[in-house]
Amino acid sequence: MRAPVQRTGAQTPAMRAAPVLRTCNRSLSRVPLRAPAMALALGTLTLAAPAAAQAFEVHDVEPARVYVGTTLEIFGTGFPADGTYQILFAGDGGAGALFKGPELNEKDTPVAVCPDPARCPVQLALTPSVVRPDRLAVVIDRTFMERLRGDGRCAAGARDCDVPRVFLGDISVIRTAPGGAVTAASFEYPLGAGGPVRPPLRLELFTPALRDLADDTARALQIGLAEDFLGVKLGDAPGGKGVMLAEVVAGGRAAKAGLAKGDVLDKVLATPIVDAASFAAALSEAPGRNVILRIKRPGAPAPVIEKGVDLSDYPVRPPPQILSVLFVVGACSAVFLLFIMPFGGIVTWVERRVWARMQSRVGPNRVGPQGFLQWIADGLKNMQKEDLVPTDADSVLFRLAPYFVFLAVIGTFVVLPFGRYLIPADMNIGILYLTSVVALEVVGVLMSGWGSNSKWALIGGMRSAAQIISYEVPGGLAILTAVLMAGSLSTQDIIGAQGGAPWHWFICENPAAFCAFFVLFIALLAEGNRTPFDLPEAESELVSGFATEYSGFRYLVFFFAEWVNLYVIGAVLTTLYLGGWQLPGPEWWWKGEGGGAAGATLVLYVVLAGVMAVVAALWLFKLVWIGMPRWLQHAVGFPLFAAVTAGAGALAFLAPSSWHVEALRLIVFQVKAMSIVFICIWLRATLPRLRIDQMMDMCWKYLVPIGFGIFGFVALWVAYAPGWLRTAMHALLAVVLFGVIGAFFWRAWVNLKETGADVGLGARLKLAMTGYKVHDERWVRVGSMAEHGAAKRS
Amino acid sequence: MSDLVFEDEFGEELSLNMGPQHPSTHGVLRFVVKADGEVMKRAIPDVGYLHRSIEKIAEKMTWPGFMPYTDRVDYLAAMFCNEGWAVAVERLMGQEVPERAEYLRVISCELNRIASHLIAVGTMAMDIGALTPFPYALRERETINDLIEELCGARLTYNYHRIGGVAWDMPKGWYDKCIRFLDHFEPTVEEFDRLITGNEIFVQRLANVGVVPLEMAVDYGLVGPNLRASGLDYDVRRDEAYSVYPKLQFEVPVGRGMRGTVGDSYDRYFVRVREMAESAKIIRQCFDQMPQGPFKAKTKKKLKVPAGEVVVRIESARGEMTWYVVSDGGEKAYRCHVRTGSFNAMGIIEPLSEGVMIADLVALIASFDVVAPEIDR
Repeated sequence: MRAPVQRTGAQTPAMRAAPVLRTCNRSLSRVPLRAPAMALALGTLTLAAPAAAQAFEVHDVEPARVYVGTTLEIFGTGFPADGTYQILFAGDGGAGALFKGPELNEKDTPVAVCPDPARCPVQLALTPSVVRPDRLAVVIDRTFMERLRGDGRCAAGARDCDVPRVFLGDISVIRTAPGGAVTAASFEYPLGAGGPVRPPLRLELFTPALRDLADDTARALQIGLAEDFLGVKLGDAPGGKGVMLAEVVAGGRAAKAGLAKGDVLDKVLATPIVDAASFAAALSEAPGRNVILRIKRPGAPAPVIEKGVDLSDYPVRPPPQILSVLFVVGACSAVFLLFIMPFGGIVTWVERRVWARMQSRVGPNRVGPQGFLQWIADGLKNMQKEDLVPTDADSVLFRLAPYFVFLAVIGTFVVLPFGRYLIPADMNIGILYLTSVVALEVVGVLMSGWGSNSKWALIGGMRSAAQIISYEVPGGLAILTAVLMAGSLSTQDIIGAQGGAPWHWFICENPAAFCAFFVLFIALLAEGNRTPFDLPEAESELVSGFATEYSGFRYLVFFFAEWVNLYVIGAVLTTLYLGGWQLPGPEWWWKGEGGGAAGATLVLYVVLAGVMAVVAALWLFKLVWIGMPRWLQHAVGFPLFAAVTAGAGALAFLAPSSWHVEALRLIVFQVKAMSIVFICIWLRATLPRLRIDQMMDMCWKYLVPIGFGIFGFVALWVAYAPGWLRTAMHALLAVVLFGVIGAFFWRAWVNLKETGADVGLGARLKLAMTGYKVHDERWVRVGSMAEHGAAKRS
Repeated sequence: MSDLVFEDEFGEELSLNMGPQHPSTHGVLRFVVKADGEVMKRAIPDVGYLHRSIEKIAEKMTWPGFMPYTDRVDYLAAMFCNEGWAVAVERLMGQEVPERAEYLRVISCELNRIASHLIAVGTMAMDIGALTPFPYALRERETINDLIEELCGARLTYNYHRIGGVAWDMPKGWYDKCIRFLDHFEPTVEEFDRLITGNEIFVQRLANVGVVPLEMAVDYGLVGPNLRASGLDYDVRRDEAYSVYPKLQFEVPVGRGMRGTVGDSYDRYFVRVREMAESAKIIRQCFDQMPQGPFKAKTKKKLKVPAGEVVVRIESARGEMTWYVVSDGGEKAYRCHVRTGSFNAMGIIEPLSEGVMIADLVALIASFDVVAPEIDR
């Protein structure tokens, strides 16, 4: 995902003469003074005369953002195992910026650790070790971090050392061979000073380990294959050259070819063998009737023997790279699915309950508390149903279609940022990836429409294709508007360019952005087949649209994807226009100067205690409901409440403070996303469905021109709007935003009053707790049938 | 896939079978839709799936014994079928009906009209894609069902009217409950307007869709709200009054092309909404005017009706319902025929469906408020 890197290589005569690190041309042209400075820096290291040294290259350095405990890995080609290594960090540009704080919007000047490299030549050197021939690793320790920050927070014993630092300059690797020869290579980190800063990929940290595991597994598989095929057991050869036959099975291919126990194989055809893995790899790559193996047989008259084996029926297996990729993909997707499933499920429950409430119904309330587990019950039920494929359906397309839709929706989760560190992959093309992967949905819908051999499904599929493709145009324009304001496609950067307070969100950036939010909202509704754009599955017209012929698990997959998509609508809008996970107020308030009980801890404590109080109170009311004696309620309920609350509080105080901040970010993100979900549900309960021509008119005649207008306006705004105008507009639009939200609550209050219901807090609370209305005698205004029936029977 | 698209005299077109099982063909209607993509060439109604020989059964049952069968003519508005049969037989016999019974008949019929229209507008909104008005309409209808259940013991097939009166007088406390319901219901009509009537998408979906000009409506024999929506100010209750309707004051809502053309689907919807309010007014007046007295005239158990024939017109929820009954002087009808509004409304859907979209067909069916058993009987 990284932009192509500049690398310089190997040793050149110039370097041998004066060990100067060559950096890329861009840096050189920008910083002409760099080379002499680096030469000075290296002076102490390279006094010894250069000897014949092995050349190497540096390909990549990960991660760019370091914490205490981060393993910095340097990838390259052929780092010799002997010799000592040193990593040098060199600042980029005349400012001497080396590392800076994690935020773009944070007014954090880069940490000028070494403003003048000439005066502190080896201040930022680390000594890595060679972990693999292609990889150096070094752990960032407190001492190093403290040198980066220089504020005492990372000194021994200090707690608050977890604000990461981002490296902006060049990294050079210098190797000193045992003989004293010095070789060097450098790597310019592609994100130069001033460029967008990416937050770290905490979740990515586990993938190198996983990748190693997968590689090892695949290698073992391949070795096993070779052993089974030849009928041998492979062992290490003495001296590490070649592979030894530890055992040879009588009657096996090896025995027939004349190989014996104790033989050391060191060549397959012309390929040299170093270990069992390379032997297995060479076998799989060398098919043929008579493959010559070169053998060294200790003690034999002729020390080198060549034997031919028949490899023409060597089993063809996928190469180990594919296996390891599959392994990683499998493991990741399992985690991923378990992570996403509750989103779709809980949203179904929320939708059904909210919708029922709006429709004067009860909704699912049987499975679990308040019907919360209904989604699990529904899923299990659907899985037990027969998976029908209609006669004459295109079976392959029909069966595959739900997974395309599913993939399109869950693929978006790769770039959804739930917090600063809670993002599976922060791609630099994040939002572009999101729009692309969502577009895959239309493929699945068309496949199901065509493959079902049903006219209703076909019409549904065609409607969906027309709708999704059309609305991608205004949707894309509105997304581009946000990209224009942020200057980056990465979802984290877009959030980073906004602030925590509403007037720093993109929705309040300027009037056009305010409109863009609604354009995007409408377009996402249309792409997600949500009311009023649910034409593709319009029940009253097309039965169930493209899903008409589906049943059981595949039907479940379709609709699961649909509800996950509902959440994705909320998450995307939150990310692009509503400030994402940003917490309002300055970072120091949340982090706390002392590192412990500061803002985040306090707020989290209050939130947790509130949740626990509601839980305990609910429990108490349920007890009332089932008629438990009151003394027993108090005897059991209050200790429980106290214990749970105290536990939550203790948890909040004991855990490290960064955990609190991240948890709050997650909460902020979810609250925003779920508010959008609520609005979608509200719309579904309110609006009728558009006709297809009206839907197309709305897209092409209104939204697309509006989208272009917004885009142009925002482009001018970004370029020319003066600061005072921006500030004034932020304030004005924030007032409008609060006005809209306030109007909603005011209207809800008025409506509630109009029903004649008791709108007092106590009554509302009791209603929420027990689910029963407290104003039976006034049923005529808000009355339900149950109440009427009760009145009649009495 | 080759049979999906076939050639005929119209060129390439899609032949869709809509119904008899389809979410928006309430009951068992069937349309064969010839469509070019989303645009329909024609929608050909295919009736007869719910034919139950009710007219033939009338010839086999005694005069009072046929009353429960009339419920099945239109299960959403069974009270009117009861009324039609009772009035027809009474006219043949020259039977007087006690005044209290007449009022009870009108009250029960108007309650039923509200219930039927609630279903009509609720399902109409649902077919357009607005799912919330339907439960709200059903909530009100449930209350009416409860009220009628208290009145006659049944919630759907009432069997309440009798030849010469009604089966039971209203129970104790029923008056209060009815008034409480009306107090609640009258503002609910406005609430319903707020909920869906003024919704811009709803209006766009219905206005100027399926316009029936007055001449066409008359030509195709549309009746009731469908006819009034086309601009004809005609209501059997007022213009050829029966029962106690001459004593009652009410307005007849007529389509005025509020948001589009006179006679479009929106007018048909709106006429029904307004009729509900008028029915509520009628019920209140009935309660005010209703005298004490017997609720059923004395009739013989073994009823013999003098020979003759009669045509009775009743304003049902679905419009003018004509009962033609012939007696040969025996204990059973010689011939009975019911002419219903839904049958005619089905006929007009085919010419209207030319050139409109598939989604509009759903709006059309819903706006004519056709009910399957009433078509086929």
